[in-house]
Amino acid sequence: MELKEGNGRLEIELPTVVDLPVAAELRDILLDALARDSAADVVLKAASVERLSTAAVQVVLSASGGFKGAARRFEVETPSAAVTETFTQLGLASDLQKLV
Amino acid sequence: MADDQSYDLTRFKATYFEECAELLAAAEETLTRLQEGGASADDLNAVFRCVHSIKGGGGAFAFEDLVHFAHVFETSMDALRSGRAELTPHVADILVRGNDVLGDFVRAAQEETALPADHGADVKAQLASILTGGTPAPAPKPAAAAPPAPAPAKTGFATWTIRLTPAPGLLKTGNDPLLMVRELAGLGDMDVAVDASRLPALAEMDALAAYLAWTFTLVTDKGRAAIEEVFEFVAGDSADVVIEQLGDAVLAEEGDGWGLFAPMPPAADAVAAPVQAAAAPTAGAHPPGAKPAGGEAGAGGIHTSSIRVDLDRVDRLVNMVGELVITQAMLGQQASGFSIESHPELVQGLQELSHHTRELQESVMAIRAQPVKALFSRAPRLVRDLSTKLGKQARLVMSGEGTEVDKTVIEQLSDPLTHLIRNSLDHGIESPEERMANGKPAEGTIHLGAEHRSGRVIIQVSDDGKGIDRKRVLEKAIEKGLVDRGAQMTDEQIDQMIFAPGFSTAAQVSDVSGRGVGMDVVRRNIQDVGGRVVVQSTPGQGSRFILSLPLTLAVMDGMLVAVGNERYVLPLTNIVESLRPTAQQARTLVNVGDVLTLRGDYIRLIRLYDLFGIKNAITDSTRGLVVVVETEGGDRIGLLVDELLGQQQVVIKSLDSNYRPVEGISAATILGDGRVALILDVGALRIMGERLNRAQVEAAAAAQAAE
Repeated sequence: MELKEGNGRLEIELPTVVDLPVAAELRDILLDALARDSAADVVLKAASVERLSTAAVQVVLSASGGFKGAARRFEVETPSAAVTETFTQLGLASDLQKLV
Repeated sequence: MADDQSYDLTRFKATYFEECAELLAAAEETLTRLQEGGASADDLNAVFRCVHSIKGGGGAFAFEDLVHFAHVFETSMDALRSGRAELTPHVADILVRGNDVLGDFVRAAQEETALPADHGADVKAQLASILTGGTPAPAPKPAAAAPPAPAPAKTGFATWTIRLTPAPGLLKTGNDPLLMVRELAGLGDMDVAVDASRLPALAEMDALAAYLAWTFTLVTDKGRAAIEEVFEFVAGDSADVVIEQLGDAVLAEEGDGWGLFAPMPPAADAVAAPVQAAAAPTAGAHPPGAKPAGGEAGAGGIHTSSIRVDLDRVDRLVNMVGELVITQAMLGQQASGFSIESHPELVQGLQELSHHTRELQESVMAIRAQPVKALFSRAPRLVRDLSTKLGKQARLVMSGEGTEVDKTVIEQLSDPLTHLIRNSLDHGIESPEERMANGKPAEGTIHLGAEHRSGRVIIQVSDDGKGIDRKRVLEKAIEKGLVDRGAQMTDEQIDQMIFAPGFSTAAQVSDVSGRGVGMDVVRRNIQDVGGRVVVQSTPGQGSRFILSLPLTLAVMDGMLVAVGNERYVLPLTNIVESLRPTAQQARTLVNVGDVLTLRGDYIRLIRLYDLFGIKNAITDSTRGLVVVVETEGGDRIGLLVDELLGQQQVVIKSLDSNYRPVEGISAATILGDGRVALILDVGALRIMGERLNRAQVEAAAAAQAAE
């Protein structure tokens, strides 16, 4: 998982399993993206995610607040069924909708 | 950093597998009871919980195959416990097999090996068929051998609010609220409200900490216990869980359709606060002493009456207590010159110190002690499976399952015990026809017993089979070159031959036994934990294997004895008496050696100085002291020493791990004055003494012949 620049935006491709260690990694990458002196959109590509941990959901939520505060766009692109399901089950369906 | 986390994960996995082992064993034990027809609703619930827990953890680590199988198993158990399927002996058999396959999956996950894709597919299909097979059946017969679990106490629908506030460390314990939410949602209709107010900014956030909290509104016909069960592993320690019922349960009555249509729950706002009486206290308010008995509807479920501690920590504690005992002995020795008149407070203080040290030591050892039940629980299954395989009839009788032994000992005993039971069934118990012909009941009996005896734990495996065939053992021993042809051996010596490496008398190697890699390994395993194994056998009446094991591995009461300039420690539990023999009592018999006559009995006298080659020792038995000791087999021997120096607690320091095994010495210890003393192994001394004696007798005979 890494931060890639392309199409004028910063992209992060999520792996199939976003468990606890991956959530920590994701937080560091997103923090890096947030710290960059750039106005580029940040996109989480979530098409291939099969399992998403609560820890990762927390990171995404916190990051979305951070980017909003910095007036930057943060987006979850093509969330897989597992992603949608996880957010819904945790009572965060509307939060995900705002990011898609 | 990534390394850090993968390390963490390995640790959680290790904990998970530890738990799995315990859960599988518990399920196995309960299933055995189910198989025997002694099932209760609690038992079904217990098995369900075991499978459920294994599945839950497996899901967290993404062991897909395991989770799939456990899910099917769990579903069947759920059907059984709720009475939707009937528990028949056939079904119980399927469940036992299901537990085996589940164990395979756990092992495969632990060893990170891949099982064939269709592993356990047949069992899985059978498990699934419990559901379909159970439902079309008419009303369950009340006279069934094992009554199906009664329906949950409350069949009414009720609305519950559940507030889950995870502690920050929850995620790190391998628990994910997501799994709980899913499980909770499975109980009925659920609304979720999330509270993200604790979520910090990304820069301040610890990605491994839990920040979100939830309030669930659940409409379900399952009781509080079912809800509590979801949070069984987190409530109290790693999460704050508050479960409240809103209003009364609406009872479903037959015929009015309530069973089909869940009633509208009272609106959450309408029912304000005053349901406190109905609300159960949070998990934290449970009395700490409550035992996790499981199955008590309502009250059961969430308990935190025990903690899981790494064995290393306990060992460190045990070690420190050991050092403390040594220090205390040292102080005691230093202060022995002071009289109570001159230094009353010092002497009294030291006495108290000694008292407290002992109590501390006992409490610490109790932490490591576990009932042998864990060890015995596999035996019934083993006996049943094997007797079927071998075409024999055998009954297992167990006693003393509650006897507690050190955990290390229990772990080390598992294989030897399995082997001994197999051995009894394969070599001991005869076929039903043969037994009948010999006037015995067709069904053989294997007795597995444990008891505390004089500071040690004695575990016995006995059978009423044909006993050891000494003629064949001897032939085999000669054939293998273990014994010289024509050697004179006592029955007991022949019996002991079965422990020789590579020894087996089974004419045919079966997959049960006969490869001859067993009994020597059995003996070695037992010796590794400071134990001994003895065999007693009566032809035609059976054999008895006696395993004698130390209660603790750290501290014991000993008698300090002097031989020449050396100090030795004799385990106090072995000592019967000590005396200074008269010339009439201590005699040397031709062809036998030194003996002591004591109240009409002859006791073999072993001269320690002779055995260990010590100079300056007292050689005249009428001038020294004889300590009469008893070995585990019940034999008595007399040990000639110079004097008794006193009784004291000694800390056992292993010679095997710090040096190498020494015959006749079980371990070493450090005395109060800093000297090292060796702890004598009475059982081994007897054997050494006999050998030395034989050598001397033979030497004398040879010398005579030469003349």
